[in-house]
Amino acid sequence: MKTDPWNNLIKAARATATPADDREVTAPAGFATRVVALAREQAEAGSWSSWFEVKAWRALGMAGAIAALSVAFNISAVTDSIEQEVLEADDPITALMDLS
Amino acid sequence: MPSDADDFDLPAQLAAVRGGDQDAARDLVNYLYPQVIRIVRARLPRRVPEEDLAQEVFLKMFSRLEQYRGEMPFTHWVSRIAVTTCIDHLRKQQRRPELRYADLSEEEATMIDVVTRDESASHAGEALAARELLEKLLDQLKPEDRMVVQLVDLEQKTLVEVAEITGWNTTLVKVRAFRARRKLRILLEKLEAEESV
Repeated sequence: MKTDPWNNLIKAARATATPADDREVTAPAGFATRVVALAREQAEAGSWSSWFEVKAWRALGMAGAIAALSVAFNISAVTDSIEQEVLEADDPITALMDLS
Repeated sequence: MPSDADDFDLPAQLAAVRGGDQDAARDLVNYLYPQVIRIVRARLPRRVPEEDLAQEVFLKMFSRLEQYRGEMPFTHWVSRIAVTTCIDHLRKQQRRPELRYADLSEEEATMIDVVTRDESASHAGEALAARELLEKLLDQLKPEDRMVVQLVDLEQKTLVEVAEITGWNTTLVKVRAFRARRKLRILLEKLEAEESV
């Protein structure tokens, strides 16, 4: 049978893979209290930031809507005024020709 | 699985935690700590203190608690958070430079001889060298592949167990294990070839 170094290695490594792990597995004193306090802090920070995010998006939406409405209501007045200005404006070339 | 599983009313504790009960949250942490710390210790990335990693797992657990719908046992759900947290940390670490024969200790180099000649590790020192050599080889793998080899080959967990722990389906576990073993075999062959030069 062909030698498989990988299988031999993993077999040898398994011999030390599960030594009796007698290290402490109970939570150190104060660990749970610290974790719960941090989780609470994060939750509060998260809820404040998500509240702020919702409000910010809402404000942005409102601002966009107001901007769109003001453009819609004033577009005719603006275009009329531009046309008027163009008609009334002194064309510098014409003015120059008149002078000559 | 936590040891005092019989005494602990997990659904009731979860309901209390969701209701904002701080004492219940502390009890839940203490109950799950042995399970989480075992996962963290077995897959601890270098330079990360185990307590910091355990703390991160619990913070993720609390922040995602509303997402837990009970499709799987809560302890499995927490295991997955612990495993993915370890993988994230392993991924963040810089990959080690390519392993060369010259990087091996004398015992590890001897171990290459032993495994290629199909001899079994005869004493504890050799077994330890095998373990150290394996760790060096595993360091060369992607975190997900490393995790699969650790769980399947080293801890001899079944595919179903690995799928439960990691959240990957059994096909993915099989594919990852196959690829990881192939890469490890190639690495071993390369070291062996370097040795004979």
